[in-house]
Amino acid sequence: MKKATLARRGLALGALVTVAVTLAACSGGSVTGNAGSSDGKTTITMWNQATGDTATKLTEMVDAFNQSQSTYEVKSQFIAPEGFTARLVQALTSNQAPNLVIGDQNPSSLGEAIATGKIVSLDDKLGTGDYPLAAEDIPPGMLASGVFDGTTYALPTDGGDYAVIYNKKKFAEAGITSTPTTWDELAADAKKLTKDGAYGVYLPIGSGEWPVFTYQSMLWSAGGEFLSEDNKKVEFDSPAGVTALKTWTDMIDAGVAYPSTAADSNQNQGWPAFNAGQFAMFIGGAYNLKSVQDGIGAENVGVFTFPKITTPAMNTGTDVSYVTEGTDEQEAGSYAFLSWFMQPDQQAEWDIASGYLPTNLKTQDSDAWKAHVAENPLLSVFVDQLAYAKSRPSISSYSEISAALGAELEKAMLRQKSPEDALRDAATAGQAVLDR
Amino acid sequence: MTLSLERSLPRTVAPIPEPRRRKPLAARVPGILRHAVLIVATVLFFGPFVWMVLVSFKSAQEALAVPPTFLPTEWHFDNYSRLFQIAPFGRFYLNTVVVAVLSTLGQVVTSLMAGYAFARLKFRGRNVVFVVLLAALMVPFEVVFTPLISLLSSLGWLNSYQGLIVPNIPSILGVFLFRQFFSNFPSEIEDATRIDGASVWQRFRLIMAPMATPMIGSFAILSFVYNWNNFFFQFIAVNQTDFFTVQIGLTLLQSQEGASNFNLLMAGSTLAVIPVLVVFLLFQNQIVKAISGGLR
Repeated sequence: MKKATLARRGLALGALVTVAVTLAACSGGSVTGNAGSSDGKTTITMWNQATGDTATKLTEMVDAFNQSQSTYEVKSQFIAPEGFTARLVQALTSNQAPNLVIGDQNPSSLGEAIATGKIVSLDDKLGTGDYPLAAEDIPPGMLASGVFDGTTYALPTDGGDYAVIYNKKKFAEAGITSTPTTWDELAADAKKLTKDGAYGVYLPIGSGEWPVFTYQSMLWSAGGEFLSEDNKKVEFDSPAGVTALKTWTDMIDAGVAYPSTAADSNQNQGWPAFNAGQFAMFIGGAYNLKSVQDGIGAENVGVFTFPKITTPAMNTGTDVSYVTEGTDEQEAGSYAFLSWFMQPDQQAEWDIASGYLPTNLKTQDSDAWKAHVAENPLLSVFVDQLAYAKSRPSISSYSEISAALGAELEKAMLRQKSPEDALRDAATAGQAVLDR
Repeated sequence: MTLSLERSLPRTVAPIPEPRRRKPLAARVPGILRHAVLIVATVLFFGPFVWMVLVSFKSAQEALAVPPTFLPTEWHFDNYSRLFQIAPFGRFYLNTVVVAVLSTLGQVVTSLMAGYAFARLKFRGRNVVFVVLLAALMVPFEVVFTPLISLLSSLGWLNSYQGLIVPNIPSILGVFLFRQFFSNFPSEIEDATRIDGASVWQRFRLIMAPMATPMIGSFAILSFVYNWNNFFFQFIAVNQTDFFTVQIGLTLLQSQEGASNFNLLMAGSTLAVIPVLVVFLLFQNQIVKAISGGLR
């Protein structure tokens, strides 16, 4: 083929592709986040962070909602959790924001979005609408995660807490007949379970939120507090805080706890190493059950309540959902989907698929949920703890304070520092953040 | 007389072969060492890709198992079909191909013309502008993306093909490469055509561009690979699934705890890597030439 013909054909092809692309660009995909209305239905754009199989389930539920009524049409859009708040704030300030966010995994960074003034308060929406939802239906510890400066801006839609998951077979082999209820008992059991290169227990070691999240229950159980009532002073370096941390570091010193991190970029709890038999107990959530049941066999998996130091305590993490400013129809439609999503039947369906725990107290009465708990009796341990669970302070500087504490906790757990020094340094750094 | 007769006879008898002797070990060692080093390097560089492909066929459990298994105990070919159930990966592929191809085309064309202009055309401020461009090369993208996104947002180009392609069309590196290439080019042919009365465009189109074909090929491949893998910019410029590229689509497979989709993530990554691998295999000669600077 002559070079000139080839060149001409190449140019023609390039021009064709360009034209096709321009046409596609002009016709499909609207530029702004809100596409207005279609067939008289108000379109609600909903951002969510669901990945993998939970994403498929959420799409199913959105379709079900759209078919169940003819006023609103919800469009689901996945946005990655990394940089979510920054992206949301940018969209809010340039009028390209979604109408609704479902399942934000970082509730404490909501403060930044609220500062734009475009998040709608839900205080007067609760109790209204077609789908009954009142503030009393939500456990106070969970509801608190969406409250900023006394106003409810977000509702918790996914709940999560943790307990101790253990290997029943190893317990039987070590001659342990009853599960521990206090940390002293757990340390004694761990001693019996440490043999042949395997350890008794894995305590959270690593960077990130998980060690701080689990440490807070120890702190509360020892009688301490994370921050003062007015969230202005750091209080975790109290004697109770040191006692809490020492409970863990003493086990590492005694050689009964796994001495390094078992977390990786895909999980924080250490379940792969548990499946491999490297330790007999670890702190995990309900979402870990399937992985360990598949790994060592469902008959070998057991769960017991998170032990106490003096009083039982539990931390709860929630993913929150919130509504952004828009027209009256859009706000009403957003709240309609949110309250529908939090109805007992919907929560049961969502939690069975996702492994999260319900945030609506009425879900306990749902038939689907009751059947699910009956099939998975281990779940009841997690659910029962929710009754006394507290949540982390919802202030915008939480993530920095947590990062400071997390770094020091890691050093203490790796025995590079004493618990007192670690907590004191973390408190200094945390207080500096609060004083800004 | 007899001598010349003998010499004029054609040689019909085959020469007696010398007996083959194995080279002594001392002489073979460099060859063995070379092979050993190459084998180690191959394992080190190829190992992660082989691992990625193997993990993409494992179950979710086995993907993260400790200690890790090498070959899957059960081959889960359905991981690849499950990918397409979770998200419209076909659409993501189309988007990535469109964006990568058009961006590369734009980069090659503009860099070629600009490189020629800086090398061969004399205009006022030519050197100043070139130095400013070189300085701009040192500014990392993380510094400029915020105002860029505001600009795209005010133009209404977020979540659109033009928003993904147009900011990537200027390539300072490309201008630099082509300018160096044209500078090092002997100017006799070009002078000859200029004397014959060819205009700038004709010189460029008929002489210089065809001569630069190897360089264009190499730069096009490097540019294609860059645009295919340009995760950071695509991640922040797009908020709608319709305009996701394959790289952003992979974030849909990451998960924090519990129900890990690590095996699916590896399957998606394998699919994302294959086109670039194919392009590289087809054009590896040119890439090596370009990087080793053998193009003059």
